[in-house]
Amino acid sequence: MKLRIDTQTAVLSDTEVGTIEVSANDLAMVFFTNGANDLGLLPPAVRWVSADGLGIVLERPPSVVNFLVGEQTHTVPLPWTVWGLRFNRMRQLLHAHLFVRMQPISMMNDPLFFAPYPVTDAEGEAKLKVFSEAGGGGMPAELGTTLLPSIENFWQVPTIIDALASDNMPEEWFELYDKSGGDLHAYLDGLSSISIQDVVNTEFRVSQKFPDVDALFTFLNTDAETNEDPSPLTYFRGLMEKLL
Amino acid sequence: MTVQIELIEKLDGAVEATEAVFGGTRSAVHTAEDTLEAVRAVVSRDNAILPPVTRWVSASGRHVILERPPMIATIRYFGKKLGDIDETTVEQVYDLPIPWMVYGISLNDKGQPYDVRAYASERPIRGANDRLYLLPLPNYYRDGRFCLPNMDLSQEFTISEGINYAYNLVWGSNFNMDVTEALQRAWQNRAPGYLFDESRVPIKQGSRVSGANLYKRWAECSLDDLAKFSWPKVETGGGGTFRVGSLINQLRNEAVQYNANYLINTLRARLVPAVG
Repeated sequence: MKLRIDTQTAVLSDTEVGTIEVSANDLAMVFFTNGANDLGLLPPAVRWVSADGLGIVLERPPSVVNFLVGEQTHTVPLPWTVWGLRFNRMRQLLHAHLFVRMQPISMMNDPLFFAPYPVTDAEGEAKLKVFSEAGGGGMPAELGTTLLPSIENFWQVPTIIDALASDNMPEEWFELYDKSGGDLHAYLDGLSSISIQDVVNTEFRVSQKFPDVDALFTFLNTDAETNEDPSPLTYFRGLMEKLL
Repeated sequence: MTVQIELIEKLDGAVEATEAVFGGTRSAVHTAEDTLEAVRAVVSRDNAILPPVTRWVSASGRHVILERPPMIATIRYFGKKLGDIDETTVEQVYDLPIPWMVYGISLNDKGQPYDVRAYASERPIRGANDRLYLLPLPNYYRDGRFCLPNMDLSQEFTISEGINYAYNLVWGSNFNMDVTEALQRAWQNRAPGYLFDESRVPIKQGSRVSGANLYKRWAECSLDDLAKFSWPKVETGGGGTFRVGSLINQLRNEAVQYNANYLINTLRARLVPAVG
C-alpha cells in the first residue's frame, strides 16, 4: 500500500487504487470530526464535548423544576446540575447521568455529587426511556438543538426511589425521605419546602462512581477510544473512503 | 516543482516516509505503531472544559463561538496611531455600556488566539438567523475581526485558557487608531443613530472620524439605553446581512483550512524529520 501527500497542493492520493484523491481540507474534515457531524448551534449550557462529538456535558444553574407524579405537580428546587450525555452515531441518546454541584465547574478535579432526586440510580444514571421518548423518532440534523429539550423533559416522570439511601444523601434530606416512609409525594413535598439558597448550600455526597469531572469526561470519551486499527495506511484509507 | 511525501507500507508493517529534496530524497522508516501515533497525534483533541456560554465549537475544539451578556467595559483609548503615541499622548478612559456580544475565536495548536471576531447582538442567540452587528470601536475591521496586539508566542494554553486570553486581549488591550475600519463605517452610516442624534449634543457631519467625541457620548449612556441603539452593519462583501449562521460558516471554513495546513505540516515534520 502506498500513499502520497502532496505538500504543496495538499492533496493526498492513494497510488495503488489510483482513484482516491482527496484534498487536505476534506481529509482534515474527516480526521477532526472522526465521522461525527457538526453539533450546530449549542444551547448556553455545554461545558464539554468529547473527541468524537458524541459525548456532551451540560451544566445548568440553580432553578426550580416541576415533577409530575400522577396528576400532581411538585415544584422542587435544584442546585447547579451537571448532565453527562452520550449519543450514538445516529445521534440517539445511549445513556445520561445527572449530578449536582454547589457552583459551576471550573476544574477537572471538581467533585460531582449524587443528585438525591428520585430520577437516577445510585450511580447517577437517569431513566433512559424518558430521554428516548423526549428525543423523538428521527435523526436530528444537528445535535445541539436537541440537547436542552432532552433534559427539560427528563423531570416529568420521577420513579426511581431505590437509589435514595443514607450513604449518598445529605443528612437532612435523608431525614425527609425517611419521614416520608418511601412515599414519593411526601418526599417531593418535603423538598419543595427547601429554598434554592438552602439547596445550593447543602453538603451533598460525592458520587461514588464519578467522584469528579475528570471521571465523567473519561467515561463519556470511552466510546471514542475504541477505534483501533493496526495499519496506519489502512487507517488513512479508511478516512479517505469516508469521503467517497 | 511538486513536493511530495510518499508513505509506503513495507512487508513487516513498517512505514517508509520519503520526501524528494534538492539532489535526492530524504526518508525515514517508522514502525506501524509510531506512524499511527503520529497520525493520531495530529488530531488529538484537548478535551478541556469549555467556558460557560460556548455556543458553537469546531470538531477540533480550537474554533469556538462565545456569547457574553451586556456589561460595562472600561476601555483605554489613544486617539493616535501606535507609532505616533508618545509621552505627550493623553490616555482616555471610557466606561462604555456594551450589548450582548458574540465572539468568534480561532486558536492555533498551541492554544494561542490567531483570529478573534466580535459582534454586537440584540439579544442572546436564539438561532442561526439572528443578526450580528459591528461595534464602532477602533482596532476593529469592518468584517468584525479585531486587530490583535502582539502576543507572547512562547506561551501555550489549554483551549479554555486560550479563549479567556482572547477575550481579555479584546477588552484589556489599548485602543489606538491603527485600524479604523469599523469606526469609519459607523461615521459613514451615522450608526448607532442614537449616538449621532443631532438633537442631542451634535456630532457634526464634517468632523474628523475620531473616537473621542463618540465615546464621550456613548459613555453617558446606560445599559438600558442600548435598546435604542442600531449598531453598524457588518461588511459581508456580497451586501447581505451578517448572521450567526454566517459566523458559524466562517469559523467552520477557517477550522478546515487551519486543520488541513496543520495536518500536512505536522505529518511532514513527524514522518520526515530531517525535512520537517
